[in-house]
Amino acid sequence: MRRQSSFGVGGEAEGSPLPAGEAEIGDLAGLAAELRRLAPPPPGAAARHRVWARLLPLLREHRISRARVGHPGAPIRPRAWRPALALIGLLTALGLVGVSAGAAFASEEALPGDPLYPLKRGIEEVRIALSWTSEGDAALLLEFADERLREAEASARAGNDTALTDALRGYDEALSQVMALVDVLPVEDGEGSIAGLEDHLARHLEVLARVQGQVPPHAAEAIGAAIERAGRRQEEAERIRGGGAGPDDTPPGQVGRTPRPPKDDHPGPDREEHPGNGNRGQGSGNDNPGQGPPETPGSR
Amino acid sequence: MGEGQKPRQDDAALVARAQAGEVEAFGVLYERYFDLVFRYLRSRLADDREAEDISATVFLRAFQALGRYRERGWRFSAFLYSVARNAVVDHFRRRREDIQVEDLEGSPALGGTLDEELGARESMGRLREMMAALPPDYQEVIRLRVILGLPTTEVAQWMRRSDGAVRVLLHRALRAARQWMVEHDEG
Repeated sequence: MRRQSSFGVGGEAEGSPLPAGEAEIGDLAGLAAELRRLAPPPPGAAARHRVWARLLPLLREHRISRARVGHPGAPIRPRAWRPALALIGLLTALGLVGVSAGAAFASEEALPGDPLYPLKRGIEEVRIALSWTSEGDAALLLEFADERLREAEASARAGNDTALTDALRGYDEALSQVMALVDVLPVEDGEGSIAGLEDHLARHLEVLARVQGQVPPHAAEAIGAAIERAGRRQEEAERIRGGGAGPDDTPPGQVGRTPRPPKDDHPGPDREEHPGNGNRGQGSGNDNPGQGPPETPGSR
Repeated sequence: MGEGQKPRQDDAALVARAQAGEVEAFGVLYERYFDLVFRYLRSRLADDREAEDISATVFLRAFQALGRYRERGWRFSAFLYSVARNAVVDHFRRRREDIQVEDLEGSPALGGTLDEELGARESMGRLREMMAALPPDYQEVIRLRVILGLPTTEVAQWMRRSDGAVRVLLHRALRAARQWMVEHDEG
């Protein structure tokens, strides 16, 4: 015995003025309309950027490891298209923000939350895009990490907790990306080397300790966590420079799960908490070889 | 998946560049398809955080597996979908549990009075319960065609069926859904 459901389906032709077929179509359309209420909302831009920030170092690392498999010991190759992309990015950034080169210059002192801050970060993206080697990438990323710390210090002085948190997050992101490159960096040769990384980290630890003393307890806790992560990174760099094994390769097809921090949901820094993985997939226990990447040596 | 006003570069050209190792080209594909992949995952997973986790996995796997991808009439979005679907299966296999219906969110704020909201939540819960009771193919065609609102041709590509087969499958799926509703209607 059919009866009308609360979703407006199921009556079929009983008592309906419509022929059976049309009544059914009406029912099904009604049900489909109900089902559309299950549609998830689109993700925000923040989610898109968060996932990309996690993904980018892994993609770069995968590209590098493929190149190394194909040509053991080969020098790092220049990035094709980077200049063109950089130019497009620069024009877009300038066009979008609608400011002159003077504003770009003025943005150098901007702090998180300032109107010119996105321009400042956009220019950094362009500079990275213009870099042609991993050493160049690492040197720039370390420079950006320095800058984020300078911003953190200035924000702490100004008592701006939000800007401080954003700056620390940017600092962690920059360092996460550097750590993803460590296995292709020269050991002792300039800014973009393991030795250079160690120097920067040593300075960072000093700055972080100094800033920690200037902020209220809740912010000091976040800085304490940043100090801890920087310390681990320093140990990792020392280990590599001392001839220890570099981070393991990414397990096939694995990014792993984001730890659920209570407030600050930046996924980058915590990914290095797993010893030996060096930011390559985070030990989520994924052991599904069937989803692994294809072996395509020499693809680049 | 909109591209704004920029001239849309062909997926195939971007894929070819990404296959050569250009992360930047893959970034354009990511921008193009992230929302779609995320929404698909979100429709199957318990919360936004899980959907973000698996989205990252999907795009990493897709990048790693690009060497295997050959277009030949099979859209890149369909390739991403197959990676996403496998990633969800792996995810559930690892967790050894399925979605708890009551854990699912995914719907916009309902608004209205408390009674109205409770009633709406209850009906949403029943819809999800009904979905979980359907065979996987039925669930999938409803999810893609009805819930995510993808065109039939896209769904056909993704499910590797003809347009006609998708229409038939959808019709059967909705009938099965209606049947479930009738059988479980407490009214």
